[in-house]
Amino acid sequence: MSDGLKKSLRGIGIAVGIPVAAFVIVKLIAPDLVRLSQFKSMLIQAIFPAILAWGVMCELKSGIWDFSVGANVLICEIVGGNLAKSLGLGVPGVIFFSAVIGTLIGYLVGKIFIMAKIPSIIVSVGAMLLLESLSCILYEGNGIRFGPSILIMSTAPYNIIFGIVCAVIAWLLYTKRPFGFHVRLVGSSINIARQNGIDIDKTRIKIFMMTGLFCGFYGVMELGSSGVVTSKSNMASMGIIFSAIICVFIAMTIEKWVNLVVGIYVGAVVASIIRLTILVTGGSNAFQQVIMASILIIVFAVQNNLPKLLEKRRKAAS
Amino acid sequence: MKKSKKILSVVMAVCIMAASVMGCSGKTPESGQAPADTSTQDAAPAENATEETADTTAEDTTASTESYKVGLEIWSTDDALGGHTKQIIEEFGKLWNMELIVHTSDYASEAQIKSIEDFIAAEVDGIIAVPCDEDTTVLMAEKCQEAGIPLVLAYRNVVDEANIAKLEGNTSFIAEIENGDYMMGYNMVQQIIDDGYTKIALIDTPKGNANDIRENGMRDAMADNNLEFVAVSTLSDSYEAIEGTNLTENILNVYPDTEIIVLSCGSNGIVDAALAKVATMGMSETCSIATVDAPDAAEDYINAGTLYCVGGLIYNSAYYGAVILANYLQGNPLAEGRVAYPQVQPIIYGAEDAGLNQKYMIDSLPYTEEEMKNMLVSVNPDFTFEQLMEEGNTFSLADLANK
Repeated sequence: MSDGLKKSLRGIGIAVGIPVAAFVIVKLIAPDLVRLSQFKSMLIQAIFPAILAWGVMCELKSGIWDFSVGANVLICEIVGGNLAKSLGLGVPGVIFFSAVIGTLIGYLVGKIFIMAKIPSIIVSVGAMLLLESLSCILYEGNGIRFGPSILIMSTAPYNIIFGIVCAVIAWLLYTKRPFGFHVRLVGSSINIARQNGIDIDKTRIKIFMMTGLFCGFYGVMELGSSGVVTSKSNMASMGIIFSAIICVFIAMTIEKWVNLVVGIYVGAVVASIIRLTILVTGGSNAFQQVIMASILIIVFAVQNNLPKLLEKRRKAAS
Repeated sequence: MKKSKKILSVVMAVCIMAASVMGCSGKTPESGQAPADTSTQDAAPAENATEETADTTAEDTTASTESYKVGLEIWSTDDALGGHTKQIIEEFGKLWNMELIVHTSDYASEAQIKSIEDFIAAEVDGIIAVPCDEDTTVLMAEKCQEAGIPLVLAYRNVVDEANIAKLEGNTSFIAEIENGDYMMGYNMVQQIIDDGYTKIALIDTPKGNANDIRENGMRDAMADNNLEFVAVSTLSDSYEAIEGTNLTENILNVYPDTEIIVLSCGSNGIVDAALAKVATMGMSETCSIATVDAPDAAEDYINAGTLYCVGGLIYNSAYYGAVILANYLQGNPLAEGRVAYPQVQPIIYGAEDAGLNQKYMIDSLPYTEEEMKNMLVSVNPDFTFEQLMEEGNTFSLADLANK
């Protein structure tokens, strides 16, 4: 068996094994309440946070913190939804306008970040406040009530198809295009990237645009879950980013074996299973927060120490 | 090409900034016109406060020639409850020469205290506030006491013994109008149980905000009937609609016998998402939703039978606080000492209630100008605190319709 094949099989094993193992544990905890069919629900629920996480993965990889993601999603939903509704373009219109608006906002935030030469956290917090304010005045602050037709986006097989399309786009951009290589290099060392002739500013703007594109995609899915989106203010849109960040960090931990795009989905499935675990065990919300915080600490610890441990193990073996 | 891109970026940035600055003024429902959003945003974290000023100039109907300036510190005016609260106080203010200054701070304690300081600096005559917690209430009351400005709490009351002790002797803290969240939660679940349902699930919110009170009422109603929620699932702090979908799906997957899912917070489209998920899972026949925050299409949902009942719609309690403050400022206090006013909230059951609520609470205000004027002692010397109490605690949609 070739090394490449071995590596692929190991990657598949980890990608499949982690969620399956997590589900088996829940099944053992509550055998009467947990059924195999619920695993399918977990897989579908994981699509939502995964889409946003695919959007922010390049930002996090390259050391950019973007808190405007939630506000970008909000504007995509409100403007994209209302435009599609007023033009009678239905769900395809929502997808198109949300993607375009999200990308445009991403470009704008990225451009301001480059031109202002200030940390991404500050730029993104400013952008978040501006976009939230915009949500309060556009369409008289009424948000969007799209109607039942958009609910199709939260039902199978459309949500699955949409999720797969998003995953393929993310995978192509990150793995198969020079852009992905540039992102990784910028994340590793800006100086080395610059010495290799990579236009750092251009790459960063592209990263923001990619995030914006996926904000648009996420907006479609979120609007599809209820058909209703209301305006937000005073940083209320910020919390949305954290579920995505957890998925990305889990993915980064296993990136050595599993492609980042796939790893993000694995992380999202694990997060869904944790929610199910809390439900079947009757845990309180405080318990939920403790678990998520603990996982994040463990992930960070593993992420930082795994290479050293592996090296130690390798030396001990040799 | 590069230059044109830069110019385009700058132009777009300026456009967004300009639009946002305009947006900071917030959305103000016009007189007699309700905002379309009927959800509430009960507990979103925030840091900054926004300010908006609404001039309510005196009209011919003004009950007094003296003018007043009142500060309203509230979580937001973009949602239905906040928007209606501002609207009814403004409308009432027109009758007694009151200018309303509104600060919104989304339940951020520091921003709320800053608002109070700003109001004091602006030399307001009185303050109506919806504090995020009791510690903030104590700080607010202390600052008002120092400045000698009367403070009225809307939708809130102080229950902690230590805080009650701290506020003892504070003469500026003149009224606390509890909006009856506990009883609303209790009555909602009790009614569900009385209707024969026993398999009830709960979707609640993270602990530490005002929603806890109504959730306590819900839990106590279950306990008093020797029942337990078949499942409890908690929303995250971000209050996303998608969570309504996922939590509902999980509950119905794990506990398919669930008859009713009660939401202690249904804002931001969460209740719409929950209703949509029940429908797409094909379980509308066996499972309904009961919620605290009314969705826009509450009437339609109730008519369709998917939404069992809705609570937490009333904004009268803030108005009654304004009535107490107005009479106090005009030198006609309705009661000696601090007023504690627990108000019972109606719950909407069935299509008829939903229609009445839409017509008389959402599309219009529950009181006419004449009725509001008659709650000023300067206009109606016979008006008493007991009448105000009776008005609030016997308030019902049916009476409103009859009126």
